[in-house]
Amino acid sequence: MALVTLHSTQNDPGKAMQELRDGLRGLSPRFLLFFASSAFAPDALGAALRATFGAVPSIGCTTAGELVSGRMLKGAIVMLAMDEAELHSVAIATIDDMHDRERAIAAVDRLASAVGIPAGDLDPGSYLGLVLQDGLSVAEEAVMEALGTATNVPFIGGSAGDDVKFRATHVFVNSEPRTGAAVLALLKPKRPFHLLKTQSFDVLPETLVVTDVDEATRTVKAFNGKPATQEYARVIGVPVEKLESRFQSNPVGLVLANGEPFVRSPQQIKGTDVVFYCQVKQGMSLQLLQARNIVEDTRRDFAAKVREIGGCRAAINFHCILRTLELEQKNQCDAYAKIFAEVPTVGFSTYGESYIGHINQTSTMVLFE
Amino acid sequence: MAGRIKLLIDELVRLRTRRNPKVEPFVRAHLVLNGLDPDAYHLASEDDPEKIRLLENMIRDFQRR
Repeated sequence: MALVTLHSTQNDPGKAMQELRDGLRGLSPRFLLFFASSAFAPDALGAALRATFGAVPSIGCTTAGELVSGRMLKGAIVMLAMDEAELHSVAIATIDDMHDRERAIAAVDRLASAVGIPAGDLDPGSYLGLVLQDGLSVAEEAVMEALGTATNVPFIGGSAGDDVKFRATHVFVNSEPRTGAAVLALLKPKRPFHLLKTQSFDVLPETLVVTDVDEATRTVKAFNGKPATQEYARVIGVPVEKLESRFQSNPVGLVLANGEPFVRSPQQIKGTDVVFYCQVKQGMSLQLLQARNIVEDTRRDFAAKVREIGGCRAAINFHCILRTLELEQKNQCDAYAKIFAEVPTVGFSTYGESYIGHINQTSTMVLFE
Repeated sequence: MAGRIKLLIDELVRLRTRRNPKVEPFVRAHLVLNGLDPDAYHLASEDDPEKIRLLENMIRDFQRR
């Protein structure tokens, strides 16, 4: 059985792909997952991938930083390769128009058809869904609603980045770069896999009910019937002028009955409105969150999960760019990366994580037993 | 009219969990993230045409073959 993680810091796409290929040491990959710096020209990267790996099924995306066992990188490519001994099957599909719900449903049907089982009958314990999305599409919620409706198989992944330039992000399907699109892979691994979502926040009792919102632009105009900035600042206990400086440490969360928060991160203030990185809906009741220590919480949660499953052969980590920026500010990138030093890991800093919905400020992971 | 949303949520959860009850937390979280918190609706909850349409689509799309 072979499940191999690779990386290259070569800045020439052809040389980088050759270095990755050499790292396989003779393994014949059945599926490739890769995350590449936006410093690579997408067409050249796709061509190099095709020239090096031929028709091996693959999905990938551009990033806002890459992660590999024990290191956080910039300007690199990281890759996970799985061979025939790891996979019963792999199917890939593209959603060309992320705003079109019917196309997203149809993409899931194509995956299901490829494995000969209706999408609604796919066993979530046997199939792993991966999703990579254009990170500037403002359409991830529509995709995640459709995927979560079409099948009980959870799709996990992230939104492509472009190193915080916010100009263009790309996903890749079988080496072809796309914008405005999402790519899906449906894997049937031969060994068990597990999912982990971790975030570093306490849930506070203060509540903000969304009473006026433009859902399409992720813009909240009013909380609790009052101008959004005024009410958000009031529950934190700061003047409105200080609100934006508290966004990172005090986002809000949609909290499930079991106490688990799904973080909704504010992005900016526009007048008295608050624009979010992910959608909030009219009538949603959000709770104020208070930041904790990312490194300590991730170390604890990852170690607990590895213990629970009796060991982890490899991990994929979809890690929010907001967490990366906080780690950089606090000079904690090495400490975070070392959490994964003993486990072959690939990942990237995302413009949002995909798990049940489009979410923020998490590390959302796949762990292979 | 009232109560339609609660009935549709119950129907959707029943459909999706009948073969695998373990998926219920996933189904409920998906509803919450789409503004349809199962715990927030009861038989006296006012009907909302937009939410009803979304739930009807979810039920239809999960049952397609």
